[in-house]
Amino acid sequence: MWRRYLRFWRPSLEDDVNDELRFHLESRVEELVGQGLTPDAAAARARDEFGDVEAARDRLARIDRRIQQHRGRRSWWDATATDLRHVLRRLRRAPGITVTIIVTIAIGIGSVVSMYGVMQLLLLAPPPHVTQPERVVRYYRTFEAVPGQPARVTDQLSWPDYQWFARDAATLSSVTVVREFDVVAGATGSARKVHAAGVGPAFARTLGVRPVVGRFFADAETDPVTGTRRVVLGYRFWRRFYDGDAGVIGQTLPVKGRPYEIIGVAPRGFRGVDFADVELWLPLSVFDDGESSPSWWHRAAYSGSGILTIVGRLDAGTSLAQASDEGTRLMRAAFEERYGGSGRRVPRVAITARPVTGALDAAGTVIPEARISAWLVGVAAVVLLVSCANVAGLLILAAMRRRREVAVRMALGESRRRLAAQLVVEGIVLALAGGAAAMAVFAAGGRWLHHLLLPAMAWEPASVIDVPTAMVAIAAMTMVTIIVVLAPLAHTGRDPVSALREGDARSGLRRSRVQTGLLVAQTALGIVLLVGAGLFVRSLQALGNLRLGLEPDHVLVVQLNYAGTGRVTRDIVPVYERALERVRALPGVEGAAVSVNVPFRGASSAGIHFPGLDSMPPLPGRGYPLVNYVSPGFFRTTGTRLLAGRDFAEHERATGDVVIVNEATARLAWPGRSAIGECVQQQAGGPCATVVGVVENARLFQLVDEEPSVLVYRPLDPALDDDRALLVRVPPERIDEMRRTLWQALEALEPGLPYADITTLQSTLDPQMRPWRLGASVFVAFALVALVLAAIGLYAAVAFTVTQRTREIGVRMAIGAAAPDVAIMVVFDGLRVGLGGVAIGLLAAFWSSRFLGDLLFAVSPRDGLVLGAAAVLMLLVTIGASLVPAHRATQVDPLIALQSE
Amino acid sequence: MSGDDELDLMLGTLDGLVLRTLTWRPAHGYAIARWIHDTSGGRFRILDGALYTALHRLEEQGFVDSEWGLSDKGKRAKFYRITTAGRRHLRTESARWDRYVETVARVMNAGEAPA
Repeated sequence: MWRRYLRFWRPSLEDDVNDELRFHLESRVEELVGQGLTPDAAAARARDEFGDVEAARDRLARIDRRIQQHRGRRSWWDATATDLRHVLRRLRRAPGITVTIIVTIAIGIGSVVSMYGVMQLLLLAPPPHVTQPERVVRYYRTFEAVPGQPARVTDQLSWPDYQWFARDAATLSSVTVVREFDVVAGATGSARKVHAAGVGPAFARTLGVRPVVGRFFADAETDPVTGTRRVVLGYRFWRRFYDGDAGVIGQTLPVKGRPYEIIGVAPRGFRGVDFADVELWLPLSVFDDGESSPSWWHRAAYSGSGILTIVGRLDAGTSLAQASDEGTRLMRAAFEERYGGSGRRVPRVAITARPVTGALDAAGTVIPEARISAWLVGVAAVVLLVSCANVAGLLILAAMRRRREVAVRMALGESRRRLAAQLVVEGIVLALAGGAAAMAVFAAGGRWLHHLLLPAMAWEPASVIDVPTAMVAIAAMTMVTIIVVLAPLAHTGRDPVSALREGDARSGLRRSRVQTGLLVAQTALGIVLLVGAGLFVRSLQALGNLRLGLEPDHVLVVQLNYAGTGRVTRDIVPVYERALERVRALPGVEGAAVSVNVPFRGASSAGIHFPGLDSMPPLPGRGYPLVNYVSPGFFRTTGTRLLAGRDFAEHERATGDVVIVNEATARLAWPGRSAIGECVQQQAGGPCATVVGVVENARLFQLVDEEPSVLVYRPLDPALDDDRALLVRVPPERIDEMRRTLWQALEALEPGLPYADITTLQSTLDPQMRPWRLGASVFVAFALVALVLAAIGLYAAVAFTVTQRTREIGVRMAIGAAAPDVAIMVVFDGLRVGLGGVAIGLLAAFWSSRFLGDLLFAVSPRDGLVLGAAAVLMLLVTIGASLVPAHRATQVDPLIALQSE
Repeated sequence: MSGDDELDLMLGTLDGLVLRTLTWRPAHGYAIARWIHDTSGGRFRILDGALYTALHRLEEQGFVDSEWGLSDKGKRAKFYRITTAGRRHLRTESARWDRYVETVARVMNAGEAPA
């Protein structure tokens, strides 16, 4: 037996052939001797009849070796194919568990890979298409702290700064400048605002980027004064507006209304050293092109006015520290030269060269989105671990349910090897299916996260799934596969198959302490995340209910853009007035007004004097008085309430002898009495303007934490030569439709208008809302994932116990327990675990939510409603997860249950 | 029957004979050799080495299966069994043999050709 076994695995073909031939010859000799021949004669005859024995032996062995090789390959494939068919049939037979396992794996891997992909993009990956990105640096200038002023870091340097670097920096092989900005491009009628970058000399050389079509700028073409009208298209812009036609080179694209010649197309996904999608690359001279006032920023006299980012390429062999030291030396020399003789104090500065990899803000610190994403990778890793634990639980459950089948198959003589092989095949099938589903989660989750964290960035899928992210995906897959394959084996000890075959309570299939602990832990995790989600959602709610003194979601702001037409503000003012008349008559418009300043987008300070108030008390808010010039209807349009008096009348617009003040002003100047009819002067002894109305305090700068400032509204003289904006009040639900209506009306009114910027007032506030939106979205998403996982984990555990206690349940039912009693018993089993998790989760949330305190708005981190709702929701999920196995338990047939063991 | 040419010539025929032998029951090589010898009245003089080569080739082609077992006298012997593919092969081979024999017979038995 042993020898045959050995022969089977390490076969000796020659032995087999020898045995066969020996048997033949012996049999023949025996027969011939039986017929009367002498043994020697018989042997000679047998050999004679056979032919050349040695040659035959070799021939047969050769044939047999070929047979064996062929069979080895065939039998492996056949066995695997059989296993696969068998496994697929088995998985189809229990679709609930199969789908649950696949979903669990998909969630676990998908969330880790999505989060890692985003973190990789934000923190670890260099900007695409930059050659040897480790050599490319960005310069930051630190103004050292002086008494009364803290240290300040910025990457906004000046053109003269750049010229010092370009002339003297020995550590750099090449240096350039870049500034991103928004510009209007396209022909009249189809013009739109695009995100562009103005670049200095040697830009392409410094970054090492090559265009896909045409060329980048020559150095002379980018000079801020003598630069030429040439443009390099961003890849997406090119695809979108030119269908990726290589024939665009030499065509003209109007930028700021001036003809720019297209000379090249940047590679796909190239975004310089920042994160936003750049649609057009332009020479620095674009900033002055078409501007009516003379330029200033590139003159030596304005060397302190930094608007440019300096980017350099390190020479081979120089380090970041050397570049920083040299930069500091150069900058100090430059400052000494600029300010040294003036008698002014020369600011102490230092230069730091930093790599371009990683999302840094203008002050050189990692942006919060990047920090959050790194933190979320950790959360996602925990989610993956929980997923793996749940998958293990589900597999053990599946194995339990199959134990009778295993016993039957073993009785029918199937080998343990085959049974174990099938477990392995099953694990691999499940892991692969889960991995495939995870890619779907990744595609959706990655896009969602990207949209959430980096709304302005060009999203090129190719730049998100990169090699390291793929490695993480593969590592996660491998880990899941190992767990999925080993879980059923490990759980039942060294000899899985016999344990499965015995399969009764004695073989140790009790819910282990580890398992219970895991369930409690994941329920608790779910509670913590639910509480976080609840707190952020409540914060958002509170923000939505905030009384701002105006209603930004009702207001569209229209700014006419005449860039490139050569028209000055004086010509444009009447257009605003005509537009105001036209827009007021449009159906759906609930109010319209023009004003010099737009809330949240700027404010003007003004002199102010209240006769009778000899010494001005300290002013609240900004500490200085503010003014806005508005047309009648402004308050109705913004939704600011009039507390006393009246709005301006049309005929008062040109007179200027009336004002409306806000509540803060009225309180300060005329405490305890009516402000109506009082006098406000611009300076002591100036002409009086009569207060005709008092309006509520409206926010001017930010969403939260703004103390009202003293603010005076004066009527906007239609002839006032000052830039302005048109504000239009529309129903919030029709805002997109009204935006188009407005644009059509403006086009009809003013056919030569190149472009009008029509945005909601709310959009100005959106960046301020982002931290809360981000927190709410991310917490809600992870809380949902945690809920689903907790439900799956509980389901697997409860179903496991039900399967295990089938006999006991059968006995209970046989002695008269009703189905509802059995169901309740099972649900209570789930609830016991769930309650433990909820209790611990609430404690953890209670303790940890104070870390969220600073991030929340107008909601206590220990908000009772949120804590309660999270607990109730989790318990409902627990009950829900237990109901399925509970139903299964009531279907137990006592007779079968009792016979089965 | 000693040259390679003759052996090759006989190979197809030998395959048919072996497969035919196995249609009744599985057998070991020696039994097959004796059966062919006895039923042919010893008119074929087939070298046993060639017979084994044929058996192993048939196994390689999938027309027979082999398995170790015990002979009548309790000795370990390799038994051959015809497979489904082998039976199919035998059917086509014997049909072709019948046609061959019939054609040869028709030519041999024909009268003198008309002048």
